[in-house]
Amino acid sequence: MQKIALLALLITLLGSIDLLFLLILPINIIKITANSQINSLEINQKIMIEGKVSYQKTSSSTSIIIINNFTMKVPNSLVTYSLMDRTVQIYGIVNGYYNNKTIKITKIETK
Amino acid sequence: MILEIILALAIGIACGTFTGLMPGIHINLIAAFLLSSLGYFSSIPLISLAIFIVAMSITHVFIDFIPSIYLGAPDDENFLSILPGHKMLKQGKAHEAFVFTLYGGLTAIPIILIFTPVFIWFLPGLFAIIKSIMPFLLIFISLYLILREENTLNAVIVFFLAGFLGYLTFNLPIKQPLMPLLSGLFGLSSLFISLKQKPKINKQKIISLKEIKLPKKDLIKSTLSAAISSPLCSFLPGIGSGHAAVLASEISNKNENKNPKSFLFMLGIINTVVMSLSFVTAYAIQKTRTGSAVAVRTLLKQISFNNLLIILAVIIVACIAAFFLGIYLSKLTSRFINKINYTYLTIIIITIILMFNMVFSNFFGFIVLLIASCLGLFTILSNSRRINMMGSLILPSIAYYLLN
Repeated sequence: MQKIALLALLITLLGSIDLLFLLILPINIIKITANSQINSLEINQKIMIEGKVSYQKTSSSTSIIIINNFTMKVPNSLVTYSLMDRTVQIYGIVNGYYNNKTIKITKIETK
Repeated sequence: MILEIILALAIGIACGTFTGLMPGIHINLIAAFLLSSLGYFSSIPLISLAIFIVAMSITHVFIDFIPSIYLGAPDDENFLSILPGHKMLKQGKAHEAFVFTLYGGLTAIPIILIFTPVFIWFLPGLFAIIKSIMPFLLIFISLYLILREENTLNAVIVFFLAGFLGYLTFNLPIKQPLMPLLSGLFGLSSLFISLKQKPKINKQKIISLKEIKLPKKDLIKSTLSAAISSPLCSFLPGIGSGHAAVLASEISNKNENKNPKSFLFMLGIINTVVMSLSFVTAYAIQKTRTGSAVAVRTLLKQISFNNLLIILAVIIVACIAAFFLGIYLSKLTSRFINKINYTYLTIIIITIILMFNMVFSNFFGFIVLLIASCLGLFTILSNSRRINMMGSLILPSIAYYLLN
């Protein structure tokens, strides 16, 4: 029994370290629903987005965020990535580009 | 409208019976499914859907003692019932053990009715004070639980590993994160152990309700301790039935080893009170502490006083219905349990849990399930209390309050 307990502990430790690596890896996909929508984004707006979100840290300075097939290039300094409450928060968009699709946003708070 | 309400109540009780009987199928799963497919139910009044959720949740907390006692397959709310339940199962008294939890569930009704106005009047003020000290209160509760263990080192390891795993689970893109986490920590691990031990189930005795009773002194002491502990644990994040049970057994000095019958009775009260008061908490302070309360609040947006009255009525009806349903199902299980091959049954349940996790969660969720099962195994084999695994919910809550 002692050996099995130690083995279980070892697997838990190694598995948790694996999950930690998965957490700090650049790509995360969250699926959540949307309630309301706006058509444009403004600087200095804190945006809490709900939708199918894909987040990719491309370099130390930029990230690409894809929300419901809608792509944005965002400086890392503007992105707060909080998965605790399942949200991506962006403080304004600089050099952002997006296609014609409507971005669905549930809550906007001025910074 | 009345017909819709009755129908919602009946379907809720039926679904609660199903989720209660199936280990690894949590009410949160059904609630999440309902919320994600609300479009299909647009013609149904939202209050009827809320009634469905409440009736399902209450029935679930009554019925889910059946897999816990008869199969040793608990969920996060009733894992403490395994030891006393299993002890009585070996003596052929599983039906009696289950009936004590049902008695507890019924005894919860007056406690809920007494604490509802107390919560409505005093909780907003009390919570405003507690909120500022919430992380420290949670740290204090965690330290208390760890330090009362015989082997503190093991308790610390389990608590922090569970907390770390919980934090990772909530921060990774996992569908239905609670499902793999809790079914691994509390469900699969115990099933693996019972698979290894291969217990032989004796013929179960079915005795009449008249013969199943607690001594008056035990009844009063257990009721009072549960009435003190469960409301306290109904509005704090990460703190739930398990903690209320530990607190109640400290107050009454009746633990699962000393007096399993009183302990099971106490668990029955606590689970029903904690679940029911979570709806009252959602009304009083707009905070949700159970998945069901989240679902009800999401459906109704703002729970009005009239809504609360309907919810209370549904709780009472569901308690009574679940009591009689529980007796019938327990008698049925008692008759057939010793004819079933326990090893095969355990393997089937493990397969069901794995399948549900694969279908309703995702790849990351499956990894969490495996790691959580290993941690659960370590906890059981190192004789640490399973309550320490609630660190998986408490530590992320502490981190949330400290970091925000």
